[in-house]
Amino acid sequence: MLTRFLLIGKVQIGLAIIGLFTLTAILGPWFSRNVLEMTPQQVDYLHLNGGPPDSTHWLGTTSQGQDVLSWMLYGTRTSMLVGFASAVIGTFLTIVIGAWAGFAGGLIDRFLNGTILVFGNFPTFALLFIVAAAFQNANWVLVSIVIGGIEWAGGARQIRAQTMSLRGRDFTTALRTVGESRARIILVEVMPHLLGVISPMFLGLIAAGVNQQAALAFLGIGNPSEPSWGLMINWAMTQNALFRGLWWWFIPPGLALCLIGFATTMVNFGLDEITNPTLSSKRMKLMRIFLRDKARPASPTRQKEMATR
Amino acid sequence: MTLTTVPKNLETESEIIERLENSSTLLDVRGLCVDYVTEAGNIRACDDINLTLKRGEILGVAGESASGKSTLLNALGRLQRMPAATSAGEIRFHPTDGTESLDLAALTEDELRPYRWTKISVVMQSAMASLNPVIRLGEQFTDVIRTHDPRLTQEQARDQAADLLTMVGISADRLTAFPFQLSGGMQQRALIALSLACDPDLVLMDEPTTAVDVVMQRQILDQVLAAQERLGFAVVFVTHDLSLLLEISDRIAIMYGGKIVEIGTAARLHDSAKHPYTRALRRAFPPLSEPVRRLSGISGSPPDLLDLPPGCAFAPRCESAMAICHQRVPELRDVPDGRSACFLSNGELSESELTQQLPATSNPGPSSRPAEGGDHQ
Amino acid sequence: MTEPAPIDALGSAASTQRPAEASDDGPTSGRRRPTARSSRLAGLVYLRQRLTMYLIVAFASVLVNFILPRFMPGDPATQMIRDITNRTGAPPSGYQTRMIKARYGDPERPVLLQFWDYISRLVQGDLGQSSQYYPIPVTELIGRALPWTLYLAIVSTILGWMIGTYLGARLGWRPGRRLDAILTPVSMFFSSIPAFWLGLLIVWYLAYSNGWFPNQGAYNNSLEIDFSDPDFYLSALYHGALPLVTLIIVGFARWLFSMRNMMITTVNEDYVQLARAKGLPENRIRNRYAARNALLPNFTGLAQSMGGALTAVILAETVFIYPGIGSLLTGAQAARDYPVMQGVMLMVIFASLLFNFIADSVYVLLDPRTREVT
Repeated sequence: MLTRFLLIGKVQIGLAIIGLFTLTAILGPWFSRNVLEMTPQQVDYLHLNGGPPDSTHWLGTTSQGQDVLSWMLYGTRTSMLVGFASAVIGTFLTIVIGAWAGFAGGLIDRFLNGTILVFGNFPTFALLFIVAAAFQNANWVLVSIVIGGIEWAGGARQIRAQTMSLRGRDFTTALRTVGESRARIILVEVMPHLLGVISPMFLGLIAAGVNQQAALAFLGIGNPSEPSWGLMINWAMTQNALFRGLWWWFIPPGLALCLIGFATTMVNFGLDEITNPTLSSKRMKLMRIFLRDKARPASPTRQKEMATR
Repeated sequence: MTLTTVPKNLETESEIIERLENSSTLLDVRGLCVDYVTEAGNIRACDDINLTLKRGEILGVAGESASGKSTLLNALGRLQRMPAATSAGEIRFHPTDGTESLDLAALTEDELRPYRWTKISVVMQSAMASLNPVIRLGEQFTDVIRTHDPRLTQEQARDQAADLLTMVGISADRLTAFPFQLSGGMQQRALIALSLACDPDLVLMDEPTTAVDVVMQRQILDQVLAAQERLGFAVVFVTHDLSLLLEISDRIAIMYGGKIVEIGTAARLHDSAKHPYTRALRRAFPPLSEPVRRLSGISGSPPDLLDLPPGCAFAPRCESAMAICHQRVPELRDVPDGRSACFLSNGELSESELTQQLPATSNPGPSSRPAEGGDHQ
Repeated sequence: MTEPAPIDALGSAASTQRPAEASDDGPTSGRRRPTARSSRLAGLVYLRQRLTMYLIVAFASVLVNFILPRFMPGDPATQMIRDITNRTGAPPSGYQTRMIKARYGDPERPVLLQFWDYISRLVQGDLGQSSQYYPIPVTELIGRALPWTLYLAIVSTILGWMIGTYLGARLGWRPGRRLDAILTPVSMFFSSIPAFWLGLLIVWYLAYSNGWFPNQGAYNNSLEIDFSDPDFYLSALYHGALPLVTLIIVGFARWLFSMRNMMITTVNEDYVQLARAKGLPENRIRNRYAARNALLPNFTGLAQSMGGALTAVILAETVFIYPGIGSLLTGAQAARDYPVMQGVMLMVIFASLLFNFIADSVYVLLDPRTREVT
């Protein structure tokens, strides 16, 4: 299941995009300091009013003479950190609560399932906004915790359903009669079966985290000393980049957000093609080729047929 | 449980043969191939199918799952869904109204549309899935009636629909019901009534009784046969249940691994099946009217269509298999009262070749064959 | 791989398309052929369950709103009283002070009593007064802004839904054709664009650079809000055009995908095959037999998405400086105006829940299996 998932072209494109950003997040700030020899805070007094991309500032400068590329490289780190941290937290909650509810059954399941439903019905962003806004200058750790703590419900439902079906199967029943502990059965025996569900879920949570953080930062929530894509767009907007036409300031961070979103859409489409083979675009293509190849030799008889009628 | 046999069987075998010989051809299938297009490669689910159907004939098609029988039926009705596609062959249809014959496989969807339901209709396996759950039963009748006869008013179409329902024993006031409000048996009968709405020449039936219980199955079959006798349409009836076919069919085609391996009158297949696979199927499905005896399944599993053996597809499971069966594909050849694709009976090998082959097998093939063939005589 | 969802006659994909909760305890699950009577009851029981759920969620969000300020760093109540004093030149009255403390924490009063004060005011529709525009009540500020936001949210969602659903039905009917091969990836990319960023690009290019459209406001400020004045409508349309276009571009794709995939699945259903076998005209098969059934999940999705649409509108309004609750919210956030922030967010949550409940009711109405009585 997992290997089939990874073999789909769309999934590979999605993974490649996320991988590329992860790499940038790891190496970007180092590159900025040592190769570009710039940091986001550093001001270039020759470009105080914001200049278009040139050989020193590859992506131009902001209205305060700060290097946009340097901002992007550092911003990628914050954005991806929030994405990964919130995804780890969210996935952890998803697995623990989902698997626990599915495996325990009875009262515990009813309670946990109720919790899952309540969280699943919250308008996520509204809740996120009030909670994050309550803490002034919330840093990335806090933002990640809040995002991860709110975004787990959808996945937990799936895990719960999966675990419930696994619980009924012979091998788990056998293990329970042998006297294996519940935690061990969940971790060692059930979890591997759930990897196919969990991995795309994790990818989805990364992108959701990145986007939620960007939206929050865009609204001015978060720590202004942590450069992020959302913060860049917020500053560009509040400092009249639109009026002054400093497009190089707000286009790169938005494009990065688009790419992250695009990556998840690709992964989800790939996932759909596995669970519902009629959606497989590969099959559609094969079918088209088959019909076309078949049509060619058949056409003379077709024409004869038409002529006789 | 004792069930009466269908009156149909009162007709003797020779009478059936005579009737079929005297009626003209309705459907002539030549070299029909159907492929499933998959990532792993194309799977040929129907391979070089040849058969002829006479007007008013009931042709049974039997075989295990994945033998290609439903695929064949869908190809005949041009109802394939992705990833199945007809890759070769001709389906020549001779309408009973005397209009010129046409090749169903070659028509475009638009050209085919006027012939659908008026000439060929279908009854699918699951009535619940075949009736649209959110459209009232009546509309599902009247829309097809009025599409093919636009002169009819809504009321006239509705009256026709009511007649059809009454014919299968469903009260006409159910026309306003949604399909989910009918029982499973009623849905299936409604589907059969629907298939007769435009007085077709041919009704394709894909296991129409599999989803209902035995009593309902009998009732539905009786209704189908009664309607068939009255209206005279031909039927291609696909099922895995050979004993059911033996009761209702004029002729039966046995499919295995995407090929027809034997075809013949019901009586001939009942009494002296030529192909070992047919005999194996017979033993797996005893007729209800016969005394209880020990059943035997067919050992082994259906062939993998992606990886067919080089010779006869049934050879690996066949107890009479000879060396040549594993090397060469036997042809479907004429035998008395039908056709067979087994080297032992199709006359493809000369008498001397056959005796040459026989000692090579470990199974006592030749001795067991007549014994089995005469089993029920 | 997917959860073992109930397979109803809508086909398996219905379960993937229907919102998560519904496939678990949806009105038709587990009852393959309900009798008319029980199906009617099933619909009502389902709606009652959903309503209970929404009430719990609503209560939980009120609770969050109440608890949060008490965990906030510093003392928000004192801070707010100071803010108001600075802004108006006089401290708020004793009663007002008590209400502020009830909302944002009062070390001298038992928490339960504070909560009681809070809830009883809320039930009377009192969300407090803005600290930024003291003493204007929050409800009045929201009341002024809400119509504009609802206008954007509803119009953009419905238009986006119609465009996406129509295109999706077209593409899903014949998947893999050229139109599908072009439109599907393109809309995949559109759906990945953050609304606020696309808004930024559009405002920059069409309003600031070229001046073809206004760069802020909901109508021409020289006009009065006058619903009998055609100029007012024209001006409102003109000012609303860019936000609407932005929201539609970002929003239509999800409907396109869900309709396309649902349609592909439905086209393979037996009942569509049977309709084809019946030789019905192609557009009747497509519209009446396939699209009608494929539409069900998209229909419920429509109402369900309104909550999410409000979020997108809030973000987009900020870019277009459009006087809806989004701008109200960002203004409040900048001025640390808690009453307004909380009021707006509570309102958004309640609105989302209301729309969700409408969606559930529509589902029960649309699917005869849960409604029909004979």
